[in-house]
Amino acid sequence: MALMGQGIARAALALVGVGALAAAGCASTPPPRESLSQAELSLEEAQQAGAQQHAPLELYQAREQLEQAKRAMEEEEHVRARRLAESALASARLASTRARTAEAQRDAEAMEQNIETLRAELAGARDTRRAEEEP
Amino acid sequence: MGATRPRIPRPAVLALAATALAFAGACANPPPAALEEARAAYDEASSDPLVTSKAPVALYEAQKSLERAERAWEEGDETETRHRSSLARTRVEIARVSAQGEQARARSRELAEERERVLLEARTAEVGAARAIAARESERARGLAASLEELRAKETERGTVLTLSDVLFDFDRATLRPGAEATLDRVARFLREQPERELLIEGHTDSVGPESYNRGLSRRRAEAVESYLARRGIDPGRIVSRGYGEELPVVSNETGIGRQQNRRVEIVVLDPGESAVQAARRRAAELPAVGAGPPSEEP
Repeated sequence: MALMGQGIARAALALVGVGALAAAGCASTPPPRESLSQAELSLEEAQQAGAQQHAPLELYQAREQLEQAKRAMEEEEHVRARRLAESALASARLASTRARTAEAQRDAEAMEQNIETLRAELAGARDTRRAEEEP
Repeated sequence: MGATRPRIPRPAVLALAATALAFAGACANPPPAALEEARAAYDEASSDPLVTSKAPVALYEAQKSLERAERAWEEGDETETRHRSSLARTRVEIARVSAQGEQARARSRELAEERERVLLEARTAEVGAARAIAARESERARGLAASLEELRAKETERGTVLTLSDVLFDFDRATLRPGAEATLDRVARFLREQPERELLIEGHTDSVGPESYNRGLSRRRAEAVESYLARRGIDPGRIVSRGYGEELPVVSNETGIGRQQNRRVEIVVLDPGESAVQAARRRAAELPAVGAGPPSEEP
């Protein structure tokens, strides 16, 4: 029992050690250039999709996260930079989606109003026609 | 973790310990709240029929994202787990919002079709209405022949004579009663269809009361009819109105019925090409009593 306990303890320690190293974001991790450029692209996309108007909060978040990612890169904190870039990417994608959905909803509403107006006009025209038909 | 009481046999303890080691990261602590929230968010989205039907791809992305978070947890990296859990939650939100967008787009397509239907209905209704108008017009033309009988239209050597009875006017006045309009509209329609024919409108009264008064009343009644026809689109240039007072009775004034018959307005629809002015002059020449004075003329 005690022998087993020692083995377990050592293995656990090793695991913790590896985990700690991984979490430290040491320079042995390559710089996340791919993640950063993807994040930049999706941010641009979000702006073009009209996120400034329809999803300003998510857009702001994405920009912030991207800025922080770039600073982390400069400080060679590659793991942190990667995470921030990935977060920026996700935020930007959410901003784009919100913007597109908001536009689609607006289009549907406009179409509904258009039909209402059309119906009203047609009813009016029909009534005018009927009035004219009266002798 | 692996601690057991001495009573449990060694192989079991070994097995237990091995299992515990394998899952050291996962079972060491409870999963971070972030991971549990990500799991809950994904479960909710994946059981929402709107999301599964309208945003399956985005939902799949969310699922992969959650799996990456789970892997990080299994590997014991708590920071990475929290990070990936946050990403997974964002991906779930993307799926949800995406589904709403698709729903709106589908609605727009439905509405576009509805709009087409409304327009089509309207066009069909217009065509139907146009046909109905045409049908009514031809019916009216047929009905005119019948209603001319109602107007007691008579073909005479002067032309077609329509007689409007006294009852169409207010008593002793030149104002038309509402019922007169139906009759006069028929006259107007008849006249509109024969634009080449000119008219005389001749007012007559019975012999009761002063002659000059009767001449005035009969003239005003003739003018009232001319006015009404002009409003219904008959060119006044085609019309000559005269009041003949009691000069030209059609029956004896001794009975009440006779007097009512004499109180009348006659519309003489002249033959094509005949001038109303000349016809009126001829009429004046027919007046019986030379000393009775000229009929009251309109200026």
